[in-house]
Amino acid sequence: MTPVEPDDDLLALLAIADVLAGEEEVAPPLGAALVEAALQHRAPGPSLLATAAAERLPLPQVFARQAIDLTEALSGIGPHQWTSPTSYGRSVAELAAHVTATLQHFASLIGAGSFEVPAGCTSFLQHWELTEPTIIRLQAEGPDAIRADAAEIVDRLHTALTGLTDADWAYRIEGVISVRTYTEAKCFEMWMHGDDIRTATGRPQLDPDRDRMTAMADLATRTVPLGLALLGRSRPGRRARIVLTGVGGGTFVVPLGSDVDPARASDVVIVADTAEFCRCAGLLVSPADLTAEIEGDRALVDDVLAGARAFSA
Amino acid sequence: MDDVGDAPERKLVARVAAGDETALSRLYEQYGSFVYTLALRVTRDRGAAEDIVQDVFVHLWTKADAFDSERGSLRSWLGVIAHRRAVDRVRREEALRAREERDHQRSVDQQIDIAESATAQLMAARVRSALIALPEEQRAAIELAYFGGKTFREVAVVLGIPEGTAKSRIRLGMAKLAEGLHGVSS
Repeated sequence: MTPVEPDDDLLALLAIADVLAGEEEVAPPLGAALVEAALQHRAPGPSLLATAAAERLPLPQVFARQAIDLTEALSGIGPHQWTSPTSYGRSVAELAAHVTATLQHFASLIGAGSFEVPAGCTSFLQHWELTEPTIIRLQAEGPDAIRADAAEIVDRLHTALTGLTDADWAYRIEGVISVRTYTEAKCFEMWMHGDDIRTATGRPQLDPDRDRMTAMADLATRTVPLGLALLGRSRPGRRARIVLTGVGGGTFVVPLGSDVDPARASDVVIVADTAEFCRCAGLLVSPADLTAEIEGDRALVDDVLAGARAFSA
Repeated sequence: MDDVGDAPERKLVARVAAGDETALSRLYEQYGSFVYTLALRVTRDRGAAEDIVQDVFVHLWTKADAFDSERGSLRSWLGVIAHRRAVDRVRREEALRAREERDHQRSVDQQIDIAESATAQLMAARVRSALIALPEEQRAAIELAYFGGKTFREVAVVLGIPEGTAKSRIRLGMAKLAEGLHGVSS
């Protein structure tokens, strides 16, 4: 483009004012062709504020950055704050011990250490039950032990994750969930519990950087259909458009059940801030408190959010 | 949660940045006529104005994150972009027209030169042929005078003849040349 002279913008504004002053606007004969032409330049879906797929951080690095935030959250707990309540109805100490234990369990699933599975626990889905004995032990040992165990396991896990092969990443834990998705879920969990601890100890919440937020938003929306299925709330033939604005977001068209016609318009559109939607999926923001614009079938909104929250329960 | 009918422009732009093409459609419905009218006013050409509308909304779709609602309205932002592109287009077309006119004139001039050069070469060939056909003494005198730049006196000295004889040989030779070149345009 020709370099803009200082007076050019002034002329532009005068022209705009003239048009607005009463000149009747003429409709251009472009219609849908204009949007189609625009989509040739940029595909719908990915956000301009998210990390492009080709530039996504390797998952071990996502984990490492999330671990730094978690460690910082634990180090900032004051001596009298370990008994403060968190949104999960557990104390700061219990939540810190829980997240440490769940990472220790994860490490055992990928051969990076041992973990004593409590009697009666047969699946990773027994998320809290698996960690109860460790919570009791670490609480008894005190804050230093919790911090030390947490530091040790994030370091051990990062080393293990860095050495995984493609086949390792694709391996399905209990035949259900890939190691890759499970790792993403642990990163999500570390963010949520870290923020919960910060809030409980009077500190502001911490948004992940763009690279991590992109991964978290992708996970939170991608798991909606599976969450709905696990809850028995699938909506065959229905589809939701989830538009997450801000850093790391995007537009996600999500089937709410089977037999969705690809040509069908979305039954509901939910527009929300990326971080807030993720926090809603992570149980830090209730559905009633989520600031969102809704278009279409409002009755589906509860389903969509329930699906997003299914793995955080 | 809030229901929304017509979302404020800022939120629609945020949706565009987030990859929501339905928001782009909505913004086109709201501002397409304004952008077209503005572009038409500058370019006075419907085809050009349509191109500019497309350019502006492609720019919105690919650079929505550059819009800052703190600095002005979306209408102003789109309007400034449209105006710049319309002015650019008009300037480019004017420059192209000026260049085409210069090129055309240059082409005409070149054609005249080429024609004149061809004629001159043809004439030169005929003159040489006519010269070769002259008697030796007349050709020698003419070559010294017209191609060697000698005066009548100098021609006489070089050829070792009286000056009057030199003039006579040159005059007779030129008459024969004219006779031989009769019919060729001067």
